[in-house]
Amino acid sequence: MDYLQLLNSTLRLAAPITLIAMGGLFALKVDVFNLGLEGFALIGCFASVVGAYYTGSVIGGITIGVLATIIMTLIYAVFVMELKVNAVICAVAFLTLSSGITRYLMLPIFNMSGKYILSSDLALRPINISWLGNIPILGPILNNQTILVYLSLLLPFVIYILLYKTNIGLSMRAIGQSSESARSAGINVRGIKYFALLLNGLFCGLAGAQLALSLNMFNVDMTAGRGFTALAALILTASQPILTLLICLLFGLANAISNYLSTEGYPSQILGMLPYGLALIAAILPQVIRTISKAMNRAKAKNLNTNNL
Amino acid sequence: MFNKKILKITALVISLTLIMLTGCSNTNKNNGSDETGDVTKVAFVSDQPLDASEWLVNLVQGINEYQKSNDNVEVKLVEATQASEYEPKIRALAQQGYDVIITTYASTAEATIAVANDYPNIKFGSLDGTIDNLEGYSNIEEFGLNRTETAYLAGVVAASMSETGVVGIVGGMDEPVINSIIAGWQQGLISVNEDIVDYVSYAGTWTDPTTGKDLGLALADKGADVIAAAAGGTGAGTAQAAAETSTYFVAWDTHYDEVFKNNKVELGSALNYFDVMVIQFIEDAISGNFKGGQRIEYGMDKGVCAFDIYEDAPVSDEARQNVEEALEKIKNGEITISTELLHK
Amino acid sequence: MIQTYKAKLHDKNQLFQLLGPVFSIIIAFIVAGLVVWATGGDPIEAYTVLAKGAFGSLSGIKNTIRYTIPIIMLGISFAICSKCGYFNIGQEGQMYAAAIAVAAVQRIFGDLPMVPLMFIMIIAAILAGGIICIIPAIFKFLFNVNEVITAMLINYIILLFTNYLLLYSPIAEVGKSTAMSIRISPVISGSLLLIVSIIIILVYGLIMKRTTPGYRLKIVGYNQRFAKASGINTIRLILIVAFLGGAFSGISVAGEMFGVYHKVYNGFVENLGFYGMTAALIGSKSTLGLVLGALILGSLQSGAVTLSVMTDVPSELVLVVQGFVMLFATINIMQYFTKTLDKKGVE
Repeated sequence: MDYLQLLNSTLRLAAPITLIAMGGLFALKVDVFNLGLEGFALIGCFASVVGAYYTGSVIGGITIGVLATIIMTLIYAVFVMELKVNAVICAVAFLTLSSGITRYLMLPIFNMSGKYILSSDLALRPINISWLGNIPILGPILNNQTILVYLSLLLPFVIYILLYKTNIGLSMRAIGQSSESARSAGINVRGIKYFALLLNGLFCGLAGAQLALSLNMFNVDMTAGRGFTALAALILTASQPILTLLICLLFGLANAISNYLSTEGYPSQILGMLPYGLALIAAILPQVIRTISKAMNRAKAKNLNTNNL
Repeated sequence: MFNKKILKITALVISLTLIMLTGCSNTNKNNGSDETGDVTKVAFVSDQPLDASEWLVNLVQGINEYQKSNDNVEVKLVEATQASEYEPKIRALAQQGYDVIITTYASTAEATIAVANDYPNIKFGSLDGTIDNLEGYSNIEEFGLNRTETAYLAGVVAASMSETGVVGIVGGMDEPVINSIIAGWQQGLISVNEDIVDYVSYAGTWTDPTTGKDLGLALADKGADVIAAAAGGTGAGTAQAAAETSTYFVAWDTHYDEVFKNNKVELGSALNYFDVMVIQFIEDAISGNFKGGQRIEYGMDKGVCAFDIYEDAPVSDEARQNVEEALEKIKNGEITISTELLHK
Repeated sequence: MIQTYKAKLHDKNQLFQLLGPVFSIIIAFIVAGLVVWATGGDPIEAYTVLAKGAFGSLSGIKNTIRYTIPIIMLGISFAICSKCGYFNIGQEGQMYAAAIAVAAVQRIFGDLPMVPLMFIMIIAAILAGGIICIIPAIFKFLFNVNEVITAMLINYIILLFTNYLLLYSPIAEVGKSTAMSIRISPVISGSLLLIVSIIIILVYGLIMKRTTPGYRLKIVGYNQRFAKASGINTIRLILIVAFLGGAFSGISVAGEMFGVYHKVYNGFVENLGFYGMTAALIGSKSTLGLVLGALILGSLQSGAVTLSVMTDVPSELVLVVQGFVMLFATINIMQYFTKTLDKKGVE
């Protein structure tokens, strides 16, 4: 088994999940439970292929993909914030809608149904950086990835800085804690929420572009549950960007291993269950430990120990 | 006190009634034209979305062209993707007065039988329905495509072109149709190279090219220098993997022209002309050749499927010859191909 | 209770909330119709066919009813759970778990005569659904883990497990191409199913409105602390309700098995969970509303059957319409909710 190849796969498979997670992160930080990340990423996939088709360029594809996703996310934002629809219900509705609309539009636009393969000139190609490839061990893993994969690795750090070292980040986190207090502190809650959801759309669009354009094709429902995996990662880490990156990489690894093992004859369903099982344990365990320790603290003494997270 | 609630309910009821009224006003346009002329109305019910796999897409195209050139046949293509829709849709078609109704695969078999029993004058075709006690149903003919033959040829070409002696195939799902394909593939492989190492991987999905690509890369990484995919949309990803790693590729149901534009590594494709087969069935049904209660197999001899190698495909002369010889032997009946897998 | 009703009557939002669901559904149809029109279809024709398909013939009406019944069950499941603050999105997992349970019973007790067999199967379905439903509730209310994520992950795990069983377990019907199913022997007629379902709905409605447990549930939903203070054992009640929610999911599966499919199929659940949720939201204030909401969704599905048969409008359109209905049907509910809450100063 070629471990380096496996890890290379990991980065590639994790990238869309990471990008979606980064998008979802902003929504969660401002207290909008966007369950529909899967649907938005799917729109990103579809729109980026449509964009590449009409503009004849990869950049055009990515741009249109991102724009379309941003528009959809903003519509979602309007529904949730102005019309006060429950964010989860709205997200579920958008899931159904995006799957239906992307399928529906294939025939009028491409005159084909099910899947559409673009000319391979329009593929998002992996970049071969020769000096990178020569670094021992890390080289083959990091080399030969598309630009969006590299972005997915760097972005969490950028977002970390944005969230924890800038004013806007502070405002977002404040809104997430309590929008009332944020408002009374003079923060433009509505504006920042929209901005956060715009970023949500931006990154989900990029994720979609990575999924679709790296294969220069669109296939109905090609997001295959990755949006939900991203959400799981976010909830596990309480939307902490760097930890989320690690979890997404872990999911990517589980994916890569599962694929590899399936060539050895192991049934893919059982393998497929493992990452979700892991995620479930990771979701429950910290909270269980937290609650038990809280209870123990309370029961211990009357000291005002305010170290609750 | 209960006014508000009652009013709200009434409003909902009114809207529903409105919908129902439009429903009951029966201006059924189809009533008149049912018996006019000699137009045979055929319906094809697919248990997968019509855009799910290439063979379906090809089928749709083929049938649409057939309809344009043949005025006496009208074919309606219907999707019944949820189990709850099978019987209602087939029954609705029967009620609409369709003369021939074709359904696909075992999932719709029960629904087909149920409706067929109620409409003895309608001819039913079941594509690979694997119906038990078929003889008892005089208005159902089961037909199917022999997929093992083309798969065998695919295996022959792959083994002939493989220098490392390692090949791999990505299957859509671990289920009987794909397994019969893989069975043919494996037998074709060993007919050329008894020591060949072949890997089988099931993607578990028809619509995830990302996974397809990753599986392809995994196979290439294991030393396979020929990879194949019979997995619908997922397979397109495997083709990408082949193009990227310059590994020979064998396709099913389609040629990936776009994918291999810049790197021609596709050896060939096992094409199944489902449209030819279905059209054949329709014509048989119309011309009185309907074989109710029997199962008819369509194979290469009926022009229904073929292993197609492009002129400019990177297939060596020796390989082409092997394929020719294997084809002859299949036609002569020298070789029988079983549908049992050699291994998973 | 009488006081709250009078207060609501005096609310200026009366008129608005009356037309709420109807208005939203009409908007949904209009928007979806626009999409059809924008891509070259004929929305009027499409909707007429939908309506005709759902109600225009006896078999159409039968279909509509048959699609509506499971949605009602799931709607009830969602409604009771949400009444105590538990967002039950794990219905898909509960349904598959119930289906596996039923299949297992078939395997073990398949030789029993029909009635006791059915009985055992129903119990199995209820138990399976209930257990799966209670798990996220336990983690939510005891350990404060977000129930949506636990439920979704459990959904995935159970889905994959079911697929595995259907493919590899000894009772799967192998050898039939793409069948992937397990046969269930008890068979009951559609009308019997309908009668039983009506009884269940009536009982549910009665219990919610007229009895003490129903009232307790309402209180817990409004304000947990208040409920606890008035001596209601909240945790116990919530967990019981969660189990019941899962039980209803199980019942819907049992109904589908006995009355319709007679098989456990791969993917027979499809979008039922979401439909149940929508129906519950449409009918959030009354059981009748829930039934009618389910009826709308059911008729959409039933009409879609003829839609694909009689026109060239693709069945994806129905998905789009359903998406819009869910979207719009929930707007009005929430607006009504926030307005009255603001007025009462509860928030």
